[in-house]
Amino acid sequence: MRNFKLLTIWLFVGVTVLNCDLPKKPDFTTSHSVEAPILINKEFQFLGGGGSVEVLIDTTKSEFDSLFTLDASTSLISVSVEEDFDFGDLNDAIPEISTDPTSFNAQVGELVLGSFSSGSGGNLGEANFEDLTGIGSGTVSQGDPVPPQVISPEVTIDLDTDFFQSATFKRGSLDIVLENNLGFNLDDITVTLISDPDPNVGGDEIDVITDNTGTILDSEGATVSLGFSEGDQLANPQVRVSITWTSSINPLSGDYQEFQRGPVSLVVVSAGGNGLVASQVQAAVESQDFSSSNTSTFDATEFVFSDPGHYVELESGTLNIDEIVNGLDLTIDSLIISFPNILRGPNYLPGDSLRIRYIPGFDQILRSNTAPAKERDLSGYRLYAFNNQIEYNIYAITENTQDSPPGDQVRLINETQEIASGVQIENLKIAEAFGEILPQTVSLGEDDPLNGLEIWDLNNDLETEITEIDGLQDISTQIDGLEFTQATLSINYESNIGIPTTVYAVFLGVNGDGEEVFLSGKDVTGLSGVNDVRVKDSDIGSVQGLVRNGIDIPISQMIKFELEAYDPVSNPGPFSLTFDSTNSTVTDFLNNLPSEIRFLGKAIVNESGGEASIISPLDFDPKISVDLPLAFKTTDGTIFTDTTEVDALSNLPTPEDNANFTEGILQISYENGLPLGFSLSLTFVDSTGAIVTTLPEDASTGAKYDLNGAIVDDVTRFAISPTPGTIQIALNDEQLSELYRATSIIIESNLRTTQNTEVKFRPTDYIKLSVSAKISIENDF
Amino acid sequence: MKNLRIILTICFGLSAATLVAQSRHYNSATLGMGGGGTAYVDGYHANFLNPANLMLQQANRPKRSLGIVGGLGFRAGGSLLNFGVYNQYLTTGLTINGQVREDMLNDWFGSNDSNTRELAGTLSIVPFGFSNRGNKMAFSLATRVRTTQDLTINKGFMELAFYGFDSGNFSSPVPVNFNYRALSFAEVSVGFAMELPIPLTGLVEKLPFINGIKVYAGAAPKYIVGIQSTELDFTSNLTVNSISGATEGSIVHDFNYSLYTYGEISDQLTAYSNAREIDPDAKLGDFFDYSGSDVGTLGSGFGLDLGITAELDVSLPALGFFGKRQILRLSMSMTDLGSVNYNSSPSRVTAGGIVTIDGDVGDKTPNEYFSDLGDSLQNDVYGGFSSEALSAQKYQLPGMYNFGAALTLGKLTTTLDYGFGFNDVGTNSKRSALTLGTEYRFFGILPVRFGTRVGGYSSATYSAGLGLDLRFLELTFAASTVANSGENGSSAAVAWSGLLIRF
Repeated sequence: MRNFKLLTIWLFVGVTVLNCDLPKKPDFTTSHSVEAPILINKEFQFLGGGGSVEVLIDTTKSEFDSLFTLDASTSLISVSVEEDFDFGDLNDAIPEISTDPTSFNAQVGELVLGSFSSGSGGNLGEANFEDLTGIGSGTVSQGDPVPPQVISPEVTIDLDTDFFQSATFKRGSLDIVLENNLGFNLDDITVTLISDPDPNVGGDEIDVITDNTGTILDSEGATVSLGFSEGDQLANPQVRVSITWTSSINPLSGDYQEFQRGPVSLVVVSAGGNGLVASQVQAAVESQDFSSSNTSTFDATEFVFSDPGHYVELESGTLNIDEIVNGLDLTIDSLIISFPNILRGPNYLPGDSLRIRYIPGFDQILRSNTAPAKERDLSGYRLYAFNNQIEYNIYAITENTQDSPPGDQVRLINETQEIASGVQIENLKIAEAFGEILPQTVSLGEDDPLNGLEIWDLNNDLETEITEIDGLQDISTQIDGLEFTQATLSINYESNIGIPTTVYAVFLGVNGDGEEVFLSGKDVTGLSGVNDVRVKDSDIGSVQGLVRNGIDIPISQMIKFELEAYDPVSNPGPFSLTFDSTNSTVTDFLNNLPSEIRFLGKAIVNESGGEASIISPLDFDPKISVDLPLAFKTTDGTIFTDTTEVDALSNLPTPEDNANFTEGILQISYENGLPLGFSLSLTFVDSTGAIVTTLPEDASTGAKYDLNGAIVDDVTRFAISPTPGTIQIALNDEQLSELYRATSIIIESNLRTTQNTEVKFRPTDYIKLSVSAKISIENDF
Repeated sequence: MKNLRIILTICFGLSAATLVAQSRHYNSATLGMGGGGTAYVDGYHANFLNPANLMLQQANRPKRSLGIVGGLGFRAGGSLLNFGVYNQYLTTGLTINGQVREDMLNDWFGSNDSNTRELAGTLSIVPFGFSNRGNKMAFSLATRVRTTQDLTINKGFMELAFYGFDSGNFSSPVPVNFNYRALSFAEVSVGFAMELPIPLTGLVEKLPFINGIKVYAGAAPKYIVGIQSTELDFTSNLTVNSISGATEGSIVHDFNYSLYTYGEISDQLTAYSNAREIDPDAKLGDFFDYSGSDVGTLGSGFGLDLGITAELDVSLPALGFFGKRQILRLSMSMTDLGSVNYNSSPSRVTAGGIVTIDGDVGDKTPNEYFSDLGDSLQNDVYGGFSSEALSAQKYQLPGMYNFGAALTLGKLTTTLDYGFGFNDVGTNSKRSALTLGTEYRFFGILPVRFGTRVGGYSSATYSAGLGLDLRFLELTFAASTVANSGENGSSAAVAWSGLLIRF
């Protein structure tokens, strides 16, 4: 019974539990549909910003604020890109000038002799009465009659000439002043100048010159001028004198004369040179001045001073004076080296010439000694080196040895003794030059020696200037086949180059796909002057060395242009030169939408030679400007492509996820006021590049979503009437289930202008869009 | 959205932090027998179901019982918890769309969008209980903490979950409503019971099969401490306008909600509301920082449980094989008479308006748009509420009338209970419930129990329990669920006797 009861209870419990309403494991799928309006009648104006109007391209944003410009007169928009352009350094065009060192020497030259004596009280020597007359001096007195002359003895007077020892004369005379203190009048005095080479040796005296004084009254003086001939020598001078007089013992005679006083002597009062020039002296000489001139010649290979007004103004440079060697036994009291053609500003007048002085107290040049070298900074000086020569003068004044202490007064000096030194003008850097600048060829790039000197290869990045055109980078990589009709390329520059400069250039434009187009001049009849930018056969010499892969670049792939000559007053700049379709292949060049421009070039400075002005440094700051007015036409092959990374798609449900999309529809209603239509397809690719899916699904067979452009005015080519339409982009569950694998979307769109003819964009062109999305989502539980 | 999150956190956070009560008190023994026990429960548990049973002596149990965490139970259920619909539609791999979706929601909620379904839960714990039974009277002291939660949603709410913002379903305004209420309070109950003198005892004992009769009466007044309470009532109409070409679609939400709070939470929400009038950019997060320090100070009240039990010593020869001892008890009780009054800073925050979301992102990126939309909804729309002070809020206890009978035949006991609620608080239901239960005690110490309940707040439930019930110690468990939740929803409950010592 107990077992029966137990069984009954357990059966009851079991049946109860089995009949309980217990929840099972969930297994169901929810399905939700979501509609989301994304845009409702949203109008996007093509260009603008900063206001209430929505714009496709907001020109107030940093990436676009300088990209677009608007021609107010035509309402035509342009894509304008300006990039710095490192054109190369034109400072190589500044002429270089240099001189070789020159030496100079200045001989003291003919020596001028003046005073022979320091004075001695006015008495260099005398001859007494008795010796001259033979009459005892004590036998006569004042009032006594002068006896008639009986004899005429010669009396030699040893002159006290402390300033003079000897000399070899070239010309001039020695003036000897005699004073008659004999107490009566003389008819004449005969004076003979005697040279006594050695006072200690007798008999070696030499009569040099004899002359007479003529009548000389008592107590009066007379000068005897003893002229020298070249080569006359005089040493330890003496004079031999003799007198003559006339007298009568008859007081009534007209010749009668009396002693007017007690007789004394005949005195040599002084001896001095009169135009006396010697080639050599041993004497105490007064100051001697002498001078010399010399020239330093500039190299004339780059710059010619063909007119006295031509000059170079130096930014820097030095003038060096070597040590001055004084070969004279005379101290140079003053030495001036002057450069009359080196003038200092601001007026550059003759009085502003450069002078270098050696003066007492500072750098006096001592006798038989050397003076230290000197250097002068020439910054700011102008060199007026007519005929490419710089002249300089040396002017020196020696000491006056007569002022020297006794015992140091007499010097032995020869006229050939000299001072010597050298002059060097060096390290000249020109700040400004005006003159005849010879034509120069300047490379506008580095010269890589690895591919040969004077060879510039377009494929050598070191030698080629490469300019990235940022604004066109995206367009060029994304659009093929677009033909802009009014493209221009400009080089805008500021310059201080006053010299005519011609640039021979190679511009190679490379677009995002690596396609290349050269910019070259057009062979158009009627173009001349600066408008003719074609490189001709005659220019072949100017473009030598411009190669690509070692092969000369054909002149048909080059272009040339001239830089405007700067003038601070009449043509200060800035300057601009423009290549357009009338003179160049710029349309083809820019329709290639180059993202990179490679440049090689050479500049010929002052190609025609002649007088010109140039300022250093040569400021040349060019920018390359691309101007693409949005006036273009499409071709059948105008395709816009873009690849967008879409990491967010990885968040979409995978087949393993509980949630998945079963349907996705994007509905686009538009009113297109842009003069451009699109045929659009999207290709979703995974990380390996494999196609995940396409939109439309049959895009591989050419299917696309079409968005038609506005109707365009036949004349103005602007849009005049918008085109409405709708596009429905539908994704099925199979596509949606695979979208998570997509890492990129390749957007490909054929662009279409009306009949592929030219259209123009205005800022107010617009497109109005309504976009909504409908998504069905299933979630598995 | 952040404000909304905070509000919801307030509501549902409380559910995690507080305990839930049920309308009819149960322990592991009575739950195992279907949830009745009006004539069966004894010891300090009788305070909450039938105080007269303090006088009962089950088998050879000692006179005193002491419980430390002496009873723990949880019950959840309601018409929203419909395992029938769930198993039919949501466990068989169906895609819930089209007609399947429509059928499922109709089976679940009926055809009317305004129909509601609710989910309720109660948790009760008896932290402490002591009872002493004398020959003529008995008394007890017991505490109980109860938390009850109600969540009611309408069909539109569930349509939003399964349709999403589908313009096909919401092309015209659809009500989307929900209501949530949490009520938590603690009770300190003192019970007293005594045997009533019975006139004509001899006459009764002469009736067939009746050998003797005793009648007990008991009452247990209790003091109630309000722990926490909140109520959120959200009503709205949702319209989703479809998109057609250049016609702008939209989501239109005409909503209104109110939230009742007390104490610290009320003060903080009021402070935020006041600040927002001065500074529209004020953030709720800067004001809301609930510390929980006000627990137990929010309100108070009084309640009463009372009952009467007649214990008959019977002799039923047909059932004699179950045992010689045959006891029949008939009981009647009324429980949870009373209310709790929340009077600490009561307030109500309200918000309402019409939100129109057109989905036009304009100049913004989608991320910016949805971020801004979220901020706007959070701070300015749903979170932009105003606050008003209220007078104290009184909540009725989940009062019930209970009638029960228990027949003990040796080791077998069967019970029958009938009852209905005076209100619909928590799992309480005005709908009548009939409970049948049985217990068999193997070897006298291993009780196996099972039972069923028909009616009440859910579909018919089945329950079972077992454990170890020694003379001095009890350690038993019980659980219940429904057989078919399709009609009136599901119910599930578990109970544990806790540590119960008798001496």
